[in-house]
Amino acid sequence: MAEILVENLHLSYGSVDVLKGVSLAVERGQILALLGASGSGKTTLLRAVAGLETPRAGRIVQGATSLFDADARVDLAPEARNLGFVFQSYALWPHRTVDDNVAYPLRLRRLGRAEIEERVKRALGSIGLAHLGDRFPHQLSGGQQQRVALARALVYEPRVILLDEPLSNLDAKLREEARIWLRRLITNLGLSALCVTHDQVEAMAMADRLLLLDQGTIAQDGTPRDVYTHPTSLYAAEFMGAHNRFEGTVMAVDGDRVTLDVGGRTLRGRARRPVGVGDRAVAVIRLERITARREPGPDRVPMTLAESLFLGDRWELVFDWHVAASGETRQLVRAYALDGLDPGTWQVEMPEQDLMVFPAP
Amino acid sequence: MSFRLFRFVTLALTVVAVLAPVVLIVYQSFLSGPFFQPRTHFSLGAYAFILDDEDFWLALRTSVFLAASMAVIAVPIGVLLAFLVVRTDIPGRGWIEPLVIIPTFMSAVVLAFGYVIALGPVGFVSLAFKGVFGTVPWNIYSVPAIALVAGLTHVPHVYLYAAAALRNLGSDIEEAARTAGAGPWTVALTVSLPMVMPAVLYAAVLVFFLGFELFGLPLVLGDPEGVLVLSTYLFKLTNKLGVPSYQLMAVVVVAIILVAVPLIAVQRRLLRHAARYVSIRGKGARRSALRLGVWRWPAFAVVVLWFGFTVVVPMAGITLRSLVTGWGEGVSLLSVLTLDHFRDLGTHGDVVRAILNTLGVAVIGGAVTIAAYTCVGLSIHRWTSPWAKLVDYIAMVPRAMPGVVAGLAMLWIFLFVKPLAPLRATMVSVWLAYSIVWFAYGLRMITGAMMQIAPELEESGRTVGATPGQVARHVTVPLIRGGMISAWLLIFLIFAREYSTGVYLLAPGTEVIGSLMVSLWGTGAIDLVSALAVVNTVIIVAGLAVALRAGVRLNG
Repeated sequence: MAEILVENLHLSYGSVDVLKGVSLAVERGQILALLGASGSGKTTLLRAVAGLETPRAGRIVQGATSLFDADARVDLAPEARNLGFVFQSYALWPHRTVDDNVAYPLRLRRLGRAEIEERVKRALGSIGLAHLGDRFPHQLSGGQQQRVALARALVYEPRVILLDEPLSNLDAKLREEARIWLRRLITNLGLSALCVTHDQVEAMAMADRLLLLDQGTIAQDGTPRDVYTHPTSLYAAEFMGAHNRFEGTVMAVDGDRVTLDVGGRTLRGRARRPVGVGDRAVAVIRLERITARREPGPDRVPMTLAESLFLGDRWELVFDWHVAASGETRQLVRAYALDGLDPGTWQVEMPEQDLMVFPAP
Repeated sequence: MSFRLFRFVTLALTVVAVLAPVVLIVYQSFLSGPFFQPRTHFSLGAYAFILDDEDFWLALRTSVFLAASMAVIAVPIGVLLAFLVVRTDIPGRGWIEPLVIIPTFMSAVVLAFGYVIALGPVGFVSLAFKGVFGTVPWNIYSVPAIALVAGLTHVPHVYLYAAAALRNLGSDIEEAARTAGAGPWTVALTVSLPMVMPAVLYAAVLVFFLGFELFGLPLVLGDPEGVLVLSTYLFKLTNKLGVPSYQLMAVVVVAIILVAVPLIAVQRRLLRHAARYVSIRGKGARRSALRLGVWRWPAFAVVVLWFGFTVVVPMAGITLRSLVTGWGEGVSLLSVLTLDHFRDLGTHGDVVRAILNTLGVAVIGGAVTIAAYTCVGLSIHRWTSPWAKLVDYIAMVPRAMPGVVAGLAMLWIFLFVKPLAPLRATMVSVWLAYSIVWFAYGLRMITGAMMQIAPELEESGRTVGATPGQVARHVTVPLIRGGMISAWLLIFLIFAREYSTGVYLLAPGTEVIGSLMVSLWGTGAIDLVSALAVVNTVIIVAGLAVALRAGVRLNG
């Protein structure tokens, strides 16, 4: 059963359409990540669910309750929605101690003094900050502030938590730990979560499902694995992962098998969207799908190794692909490898099933 | 009470309080006599009379001349002072700034009294000068003298905007010019000065506007030789026809408002433009001060000369006068020293009331005023309705009314609205008039503080379950507490200094120091006036000291 249901949401700022008919469903106990470039409308969507923005049309439903319904003129105030919201900047109130920040939602709900104290203690204990209750927010580190913000959003036990770039203000190492911790906390509490992020790695690590937004519409909706390996649009293919991009003309089509002419060189791939012979097309292949071999073979192209960049856990190789026929068209091809390579000419393999072909936009 | 109801009530009261005086004035201007007379009817007679009166046109011309001369005098000096203090190694960089700003907090009538006492025909400076040179080449009661004094006392207004613009100027812009081969003075003239021009232009229009509303200086310095400006012409009209000529006064007020409105519109446009200009901001890197070399001390002398003429001479004059029984040629000052004038203050009931009333309206009234402004600020804070824009415009209306006009309008309101009549002779009327006159200024301080709050601090209150009213009480107001306290201190200074707004409201029970000084000056009670002026200045200086200690930014 869907915990949060959004139907055909439209939202404009003045004459600018920010959301153009977005629908989504968050199942109970699921973490859904909203992913997209800046300006894609993902934060606006999250804020609309929280009641901080007013859509023009559409419906937002939690369980059996309508939070927003343009046709029925329902628009619950943010405070009446009983959702948890964690802001990108954490938005801890600087004039209140950690204890008071976390206790405030409970005071608003008119709980008894003893119960408030007990629940604040429990909430801070569960995030490992029970000893810092007397501090003010500015006396905490970024990671601690983030956890207090989470405690404040969870202390009144909402069933749904909304997270706006929750990890973006943490430094890289802390972020990797925090996303594991955050995911475990949300699943252990049995919450449903909607999480905005622009970082695809973070989205894939944390979420059960991804929703990729492109200029106010949904580009793709699926499991992280699905969206990564089976992008249904060029936008999705290019947004996820590091990739090479080739532009060319379709020479032959056989089912989903496509032969492309890229500046005089032939490439074979699989059409992810229908293309016809003679069409301009774009082929995308992820860096980790490319391997360099000694010997020639199918799907292999000879290229000169131009650069080897050591990234720590792997190498990034940059090949110079001279296109023989014209002599002028040069293309750089990037690839990941576990080990560095000697300089010289290599047979670079781009497997047919990993080269994703889309019609040129 | 729901927040919606709170907003409605607050804004309705605000609109009524702000618009009622203007509406009453316009209505009165189309009547044949005072609105309370039974046989009054609609008539354009008052307009015909005023437009036919040579004195009106003369006063209008004098006002324009004064305003223009003030801008011509204040702008170059203000920009020069700002440049010297902000960008050069002039001696005393650290402490000059508060001194330069001080004249904005001085009472214009106190300064005017001081100039008369120091530089008037029998002033102590004039007499000393005459003793040496045999003659006094200046006449403090002339239009050029008023223009000079008014121009010099308005230098701080230009200084504030020019200095702020110079500070906001990204150092990278100037460093880029330096690396491109320009010397420091070339950079100052070809890069820095053009960049701050929008702010300077704004300040020039502001000074022109303030010149148009000038009251205290022309009242005191213009009166002996019959020099009139619009506001003093209005003041003199009070008894022009022997009977209260309300309709004529209303017409003059309409004329003043008609001139003020376009000037305010221009200021708003310029301010927006200036803000755009300085938003090109570089890093807050410390830049080295320009070396003045041999010009260091001459530059310092310019500042000292200006300060001496604008503050020291009149203040010394008024202080000296408060401590002596009199002076003249050949009188030794030591032989006439006395503290009697200060002792006498206590023997006059109205003077004692004036001092207590001034302190009361500044401290308690100021606090209530800030609370009221805060309610209005909360009502329009992050309100996206088109009504918010309307309220923003209405807030500008009081700016078009000089204090003397607002005081007059308030008097009429208290006469016109019968249920309010019992409050007319109480400090409530004075407080209300002050609060309306300074509404735009005070509201800007409050909304400025509110805009500093990151929106998500309030939004997070909503998402955890607080209503808009609870967010206002628990988040917004606690977060602007510092801003409210500095606004209170600034309003204290302003209310303590006020003289023009209370002039028409002056009655037994509503005396404040400022309006009482104006009234006593007319009767020639110069001993009392000088002692009162010193008391007023002491109150303001004490307030300034507290404000500076509390770290209040004096430019509001």
